[in-house]
Amino acid sequence: MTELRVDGLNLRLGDQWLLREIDLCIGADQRVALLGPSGSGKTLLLRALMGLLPVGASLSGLLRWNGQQLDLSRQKRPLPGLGLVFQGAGQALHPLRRIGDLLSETAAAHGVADPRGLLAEVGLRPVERYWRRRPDQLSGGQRQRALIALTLAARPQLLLADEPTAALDSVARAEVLALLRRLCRERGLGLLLVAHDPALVRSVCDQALVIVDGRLVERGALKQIFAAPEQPWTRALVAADGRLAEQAAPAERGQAQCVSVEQMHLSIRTSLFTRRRQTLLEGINFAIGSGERVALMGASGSGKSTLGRCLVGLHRPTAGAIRWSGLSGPLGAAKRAALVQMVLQDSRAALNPMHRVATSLGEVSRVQRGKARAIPVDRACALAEVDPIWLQRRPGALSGGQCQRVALARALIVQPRLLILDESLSALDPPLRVELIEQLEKLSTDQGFALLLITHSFSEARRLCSRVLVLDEGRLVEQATTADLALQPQHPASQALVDAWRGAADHSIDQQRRVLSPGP
Amino acid sequence: MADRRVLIPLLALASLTLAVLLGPALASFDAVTPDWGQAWLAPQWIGTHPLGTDAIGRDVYARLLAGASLSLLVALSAGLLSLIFGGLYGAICGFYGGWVDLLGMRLVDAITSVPLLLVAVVVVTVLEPGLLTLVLVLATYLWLDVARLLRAEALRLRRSDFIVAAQIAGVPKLRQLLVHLLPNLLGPLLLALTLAIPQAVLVESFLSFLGLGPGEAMGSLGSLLAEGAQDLQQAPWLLLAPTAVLLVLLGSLRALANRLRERFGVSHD
Repeated sequence: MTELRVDGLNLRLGDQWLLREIDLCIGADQRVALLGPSGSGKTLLLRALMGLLPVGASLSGLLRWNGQQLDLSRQKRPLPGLGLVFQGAGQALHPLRRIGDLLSETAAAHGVADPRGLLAEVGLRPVERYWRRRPDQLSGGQRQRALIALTLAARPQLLLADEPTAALDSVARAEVLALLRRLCRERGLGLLLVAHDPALVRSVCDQALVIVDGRLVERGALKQIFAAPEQPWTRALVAADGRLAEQAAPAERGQAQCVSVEQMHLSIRTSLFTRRRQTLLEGINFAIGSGERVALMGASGSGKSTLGRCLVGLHRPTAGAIRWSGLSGPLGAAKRAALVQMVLQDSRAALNPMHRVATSLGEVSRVQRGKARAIPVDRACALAEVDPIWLQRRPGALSGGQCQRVALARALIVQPRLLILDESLSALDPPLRVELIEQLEKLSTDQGFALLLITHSFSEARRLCSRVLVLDEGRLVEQATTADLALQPQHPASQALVDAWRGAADHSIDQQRRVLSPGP
Repeated sequence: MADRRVLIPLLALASLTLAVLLGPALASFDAVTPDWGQAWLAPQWIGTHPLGTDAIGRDVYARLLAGASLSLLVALSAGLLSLIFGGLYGAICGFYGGWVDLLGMRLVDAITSVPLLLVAVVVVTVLEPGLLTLVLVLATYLWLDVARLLRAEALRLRRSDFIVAAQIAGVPKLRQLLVHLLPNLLGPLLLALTLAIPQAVLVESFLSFLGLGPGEAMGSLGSLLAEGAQDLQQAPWLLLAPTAVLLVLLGSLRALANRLRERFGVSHD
């Protein structure tokens, strides 16, 4: 039986060891999850196996595959039979070539007779429609499927997948994972799936490898590892998983209102010269009570972020009104900033790279100078658990989680009435994510601010929020309490979101064959 | 460890600048006084005229240093002038966008469509062909490219998260521009400088070649080239020496520009 065996793999870049003494063995019928915190070397290990390393990296070790034995230090090209599925399909596909051309080229090189069958196999049906499309004419999930088809065209026996769903929303993510699971079963493929979120791998994998700081620290059956984790990181991971599964307490009724949005409509002119307009948001009606925690959900492109940006004044609604209780008349930038704050997804990019953290935080105080509500910077830092040492650093010297806390502190300085989190948590490692969620829950209760969590992850919404708003193609299609939505989603868009969450939460479900309407 | 691709051009530029600044003090002859009876002396390793003399016995080495210093002075001042104006102009267009950008950039296009050399020749002939005139004429043209480059960068940066975050924090527009946007344009600005200076050197040389440059007596790189071209038969070193200096100057700046472009990922042209 074919198996991939690696003995004593070491990877060094300059004087830094990136991978140390990795031994592993993956049977061609096994589905293995490669888990580890960000920066632990997961992607590098995959690339080392494929011979795709950065210039200047020195690799050593032995690799056995298909009865051959190879010295890894000499391996310069990918081995036949190993297929790599890249993380960002958007970048891995040639932007100007049609999917069909790419597929037939690879298929011809590997002697696969029926490249069209591959598209059907990954669920891009009807084949003729997708065959002639270019990557930019596909949605994120479809692009990932096309990439998988392309990998299959090289007739792999073992798939190496590098977080293939990282850039996808939860619905597309569930579909791609279901596809991988089906391919492994039907084709008898082995799979090494890199992930940093255990919720994803449970539905696909049966074995797991845990890599921390470039060393393999734990291995075994996935169930075993989740039942009795040994390493600190794995333990934190499992604990986080459990903590995320808790449900937020339902909100007390009869609160005062914080903000209400009435018949809001937003369209943009598509060009400076024509009158043509594109509608982004249509007939949005909702209200958020003071201190209430609400999730705003929807697939990518449904207008979630746009709605959040309207609330913080980055877009001006074309029609309708956003009313803040107790305030009337036009809002100045500083006044609005004191009411509502937003934490962006990539907090490192949200900090001026040339400024020290202290400068970035001090600026908000300056803008709000003279306003009674603003609190001192050090107090906000204490609330957001920002270490005072970070204040003298620039964003480049901080980790993603640290930047996220700094961004949170910046938002808290003004003591906003509403804090919007725009996918702020989804890119973080699970333990950190849960920690921040718990902290936000506590902060919003203590400080009394309302929270609008923009997310595509229902587990986040369920953990933190009492109510959910579902957006679909710019319309608000459902408003329900989190508990109700989990049980009885009404609109198809909400159903898809809840199904995706169920699929990840309950790994025994192995159906997930719902064919969604093909994208644009 | 420093990057060789940056180190070599920087060293070349530094030694050129140093030679231009210190050279005249060390040379035994100045640029304008002829050494009578020593006309058309070939370059010699030992002797009083290391690079030879020209048709009336002036020391080529001294003239070369003086010429290079004049060329560099013109190029640097025109470059910096265009950088300050073009940089601000481009940044404002890119940052505010919309009509400001549309009108601003069409103005740039309009000025670009007028041929530089024609205008330069006319202006320099009508006005006094002096240092200041030349610098102003050059700057009038150089700022256009700088503005284009910086506008593209500003357009990109204004949608970047940290500007958006500043907006959310209620930071006023002007402060966003001055405190957040402009300092982050430093890299592209440096790139613009390395692109503008060679252009200025070239145009200055060309005008001087035509006899429209400043300082006829003292000579710049361009007027040296013109003289050298005339006496090519008898004294090829008169052409070779300024050509070599021009080559080193332009080559180093070009190499630096390429490196900066890689570093900041800016596309130009």
